[in-house]
Amino acid sequence: MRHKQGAGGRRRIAAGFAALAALFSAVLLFGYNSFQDNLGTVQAPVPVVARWDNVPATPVSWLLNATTPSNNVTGCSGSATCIQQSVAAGFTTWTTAQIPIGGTPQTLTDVVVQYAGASTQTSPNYQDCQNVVGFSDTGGSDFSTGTIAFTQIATVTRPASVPSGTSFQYTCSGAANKTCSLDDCMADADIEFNPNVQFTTSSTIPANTFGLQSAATHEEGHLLGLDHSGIAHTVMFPFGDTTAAGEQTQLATDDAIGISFLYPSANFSTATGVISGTVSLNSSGIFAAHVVAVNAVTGDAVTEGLTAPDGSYTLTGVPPGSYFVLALPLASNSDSGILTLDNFSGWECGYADAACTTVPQNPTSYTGRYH
Amino acid sequence: MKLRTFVLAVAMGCWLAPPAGATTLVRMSLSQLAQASSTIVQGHVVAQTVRQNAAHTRIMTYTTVQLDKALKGQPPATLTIEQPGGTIGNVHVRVPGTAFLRPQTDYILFLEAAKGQTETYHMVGMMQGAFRVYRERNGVQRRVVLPLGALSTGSGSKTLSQSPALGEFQMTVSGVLAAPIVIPPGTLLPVVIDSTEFRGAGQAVVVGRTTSDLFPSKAVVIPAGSQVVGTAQREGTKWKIYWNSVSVRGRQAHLSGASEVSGSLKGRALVVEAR
Repeated sequence: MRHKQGAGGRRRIAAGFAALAALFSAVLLFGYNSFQDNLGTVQAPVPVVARWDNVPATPVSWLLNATTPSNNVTGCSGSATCIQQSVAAGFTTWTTAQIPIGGTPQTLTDVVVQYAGASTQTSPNYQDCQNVVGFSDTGGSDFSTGTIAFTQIATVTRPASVPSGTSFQYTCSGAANKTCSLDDCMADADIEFNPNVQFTTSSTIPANTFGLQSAATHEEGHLLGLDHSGIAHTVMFPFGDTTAAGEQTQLATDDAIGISFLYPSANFSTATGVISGTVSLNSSGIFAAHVVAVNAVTGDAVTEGLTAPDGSYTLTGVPPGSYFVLALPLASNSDSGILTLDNFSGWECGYADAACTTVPQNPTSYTGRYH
Repeated sequence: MKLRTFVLAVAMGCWLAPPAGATTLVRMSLSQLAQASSTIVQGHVVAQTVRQNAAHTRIMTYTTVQLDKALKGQPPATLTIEQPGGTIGNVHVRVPGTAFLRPQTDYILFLEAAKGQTETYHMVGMMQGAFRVYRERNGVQRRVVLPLGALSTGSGSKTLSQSPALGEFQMTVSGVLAAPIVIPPGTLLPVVIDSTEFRGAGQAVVVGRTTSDLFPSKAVVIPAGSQVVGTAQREGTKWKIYWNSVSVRGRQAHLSGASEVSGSLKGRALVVEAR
């Protein structure tokens, strides 16, 4: 029934984790909607991994329109060079991502990014196959209140007429055709910073101001193919709070696993492991439960994923170690509403209620193992 | 520590930790969502279309919502919600952070008018502005799904649970709309003066607008473009402006602050510090 009603979609990485990406996956914590990545496709689509093709042989390139008509970038005078450096530093954060393996950080990604020069483009263009970072979006209505920046991502899917494993071409306005050898290729990604929001290139962040490099790093994660994370300390967590605005420019392990999954080095799969299992309630698989791998020693939330419609989950790129698997009831039920916390005995207080003093019962059954 | 206690503690730590600064969206409280909205409606989705913009540079999704109840503003019977993204042919465009409105589904929507388009709206805070309404399995109680799980009302004294009853949620929205907007002292408002109306010798009414989205507290938001009004008095070669109020989507908030300006007033950019 859920399938008929299109309860598909995915959360985390635009690619997601391998097994999830091969299945329907679903809602992200904090209301990431099950259809979010499939906006406009009313019928249930099948998520597929989307990333830039032929990386690292063909670097992911980006251009910059550093014009800030509202002078909303402060720090080192908001000069074009200064802005470029902040944006470039964010990309470097991704290309040098490291996953801690046995206490030693290791680079397990092979993604290459290059600056391709200045641009005069003032609003996103999904058809030109140019990845432009800009501050001068003339479509002021692109930014609803509360939006700091956004990334518009265009992907092309292999036409049904093209057999799997065969490359296909797609057109770019004003440029030569490009070739995609994957089922789904990223074709264009434009980042726009809100001209009505104050940014700074300074490491000291004033009130009501956002660190440019910090915001850029998040958006660049989208440009490279990542989606939002439900772990609060990650770069790809979607929400911030200006009353405690901080400059997060360092990746969390979940971020590093995501970029390494999309653009793996040769030893990514051998250096890391997989946690898989099933989340169930009353012997039925729970769809779209949020599954988090928690380091059993440090208590850190390391990485996460969502369950497939049958309740199964697979977390890939997990550093060797011992983990607890935490499953949270966030599932959407297309038949009659959501599975609320009330569906889970002992969780009346909810995980977000700081005043809750009752120790809840473990609400889920799970079969997690590291291998 | 028992496993379940440990796991809960970890979960609390993960999600209650102050969010980092690398973000797409400002996490808004219910008070901020309500203040930033020109219109709040309860309605249901009746249609959805996807098309390119005139320049063929964007793909947009337009969702038609039939009004069931207005909670703020005077919306038309049928509203159009414009959102970026959609699929045309084998090209799929998306903007992370955008909520998908499901067909034939009820929502409470926090909306702001799209510039230059009648009866077309954008969701405040992207995905944060859509609250799905569903009916419990027993068919009696209707509840609201909070996009962010729990949701602060902004006062700091109340947090809505994961899925409050529809009536409770509507009352909470009414409550935050009725609460006065109090601008914290020390808030800096970047303002541009748009017009002046002279009221006799050396006196004028000054009307300006804010130029940045401001989130001075969890209970208050001042969107860019909010109207600011004050009175100016000529003092020698300077104007002294005493600011009186700021209008947040039609709701007046008291503003106490003063500015000193030499020369002409119109077009002048200032930073007003709230007292």
